[in-house]
Amino acid sequence: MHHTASRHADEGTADTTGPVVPPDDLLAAGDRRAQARTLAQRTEARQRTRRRILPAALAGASVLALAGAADRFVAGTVPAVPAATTGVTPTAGAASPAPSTGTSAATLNRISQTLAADRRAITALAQAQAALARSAGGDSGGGTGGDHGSSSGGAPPSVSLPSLPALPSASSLSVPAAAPTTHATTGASVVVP
Amino acid sequence: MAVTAPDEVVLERVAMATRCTVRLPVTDSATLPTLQAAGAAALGVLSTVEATCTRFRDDSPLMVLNRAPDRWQVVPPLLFEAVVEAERAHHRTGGRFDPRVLDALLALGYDRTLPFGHADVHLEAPAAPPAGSSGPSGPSGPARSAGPARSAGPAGPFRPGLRPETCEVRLGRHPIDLGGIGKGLAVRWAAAAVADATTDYLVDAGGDCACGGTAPGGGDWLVGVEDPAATGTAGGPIAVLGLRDRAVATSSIRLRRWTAGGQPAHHLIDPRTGRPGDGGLLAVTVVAEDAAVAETWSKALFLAGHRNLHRLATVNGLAALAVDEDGRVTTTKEMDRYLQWQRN
Repeated sequence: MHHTASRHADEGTADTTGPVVPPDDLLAAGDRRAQARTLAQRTEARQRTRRRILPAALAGASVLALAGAADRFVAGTVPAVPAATTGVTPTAGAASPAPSTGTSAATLNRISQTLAADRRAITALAQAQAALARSAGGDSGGGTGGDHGSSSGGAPPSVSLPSLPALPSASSLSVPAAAPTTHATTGASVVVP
Repeated sequence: MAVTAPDEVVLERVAMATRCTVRLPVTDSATLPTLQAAGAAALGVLSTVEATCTRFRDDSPLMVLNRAPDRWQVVPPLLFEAVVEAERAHHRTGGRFDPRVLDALLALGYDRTLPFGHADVHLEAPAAPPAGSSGPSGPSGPARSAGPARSAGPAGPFRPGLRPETCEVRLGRHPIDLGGIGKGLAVRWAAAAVADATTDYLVDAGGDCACGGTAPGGGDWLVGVEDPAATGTAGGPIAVLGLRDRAVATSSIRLRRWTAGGQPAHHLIDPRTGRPGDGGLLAVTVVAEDAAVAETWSKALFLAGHRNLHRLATVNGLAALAVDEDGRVTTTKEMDRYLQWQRN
């Protein structure tokens, strides 16, 4: 063991060994810088989250918007009376009211067209979500899109989704588990009188 | 009491008013006698350190030294080394660890082993500190209302006089308490006592642990970190550390707390104020290469408080885990590599 050289006790002498403890005001300044870094990191994390989530949200919203547009398209272009070859070209918003005797049928027809468009939009959204789940590492073995809820009508509106960052697989996520058995415990030492 | 399991030797003893355990994995049954002897020697070291450095016996070498701290006195080599290590720790921690807190502890009534953890401890309003026990500047500021007398810590760094050739020590103006480093030193020296027999060991003195090599089965030694906010023994650990050739120590106020004159007090004295540290923490755990280093830093970081702990730990590259008064757990980056499990 190392022994120090002989010397006399000398209390009151200034410590000249060089501090390893910064003064409290420097520590406080450091804390402020650390807080600023933490705030910046949190902001960046939120932005990363937005960049990750927003594209999918926008994709979903765009699908719904397309569905709405499809609905308006259907409503605007499907003639009130089934007959596409009369030579009359309806303009948006200019369709004449159907004769009262065909109103209910036309309305029902429009509703059914709208519902069909909605179903196609929902199908497209489901396909997009399935594609997202597969990219997250799911091994359902599903192939490419088109396996779920195929529509009975025309082709669903195509939605090109932005590429999303890969999500960690479920197996790599830490799952809360019981504490392992330990060989010792550190803490307040139990007093044995 | 020795309990020999097929894969390890486990020996236990009460020393330093706490349970002490030595665990030695057995890989070859032929080494059993050697391991048992080494384990017994390690326990003997723990008892020797207690007998030499305790302040709870008037005839211990430490208390004899303390009776005349400003005189040169011959001390046992073990006590000489303990004073040397206390000075090193004082400077290593920038003065936050200071053994010259004995008078403050006595002023708070902690003058004997108390039944912490077995019953609430209420002490009468303590007497004023002995004459001359305060620092040269005397009590600083107005006394707190109805509380124990406040005394400023000793002025100037702790620089005891040391004559290694003759094993003489002169402490200076103030007596010392080695409670904040004694267990760590005991664990260090006990671990050294088994090192000739095996490189795989765990020496545990009341939660200050030295973990050498590997545990039975070949993995890391797993040490649970107690939840200082838990009552009794319920709740389990808040974290589990995997250690190999490392030591760990915790400074905690879960047990050693009492009231003195109706005012709350605990044993972790801030040398700058002479009062129990009030930095908003319940416990600090430190992993280091050595048990005494871990113990003194755990106390220094506790006294630094939750506002300054992480900055101080980072500057000094410490692996630390802290629990604040709200039960929140924070760790330094250096601690992450030891964390095997953490409660959510």
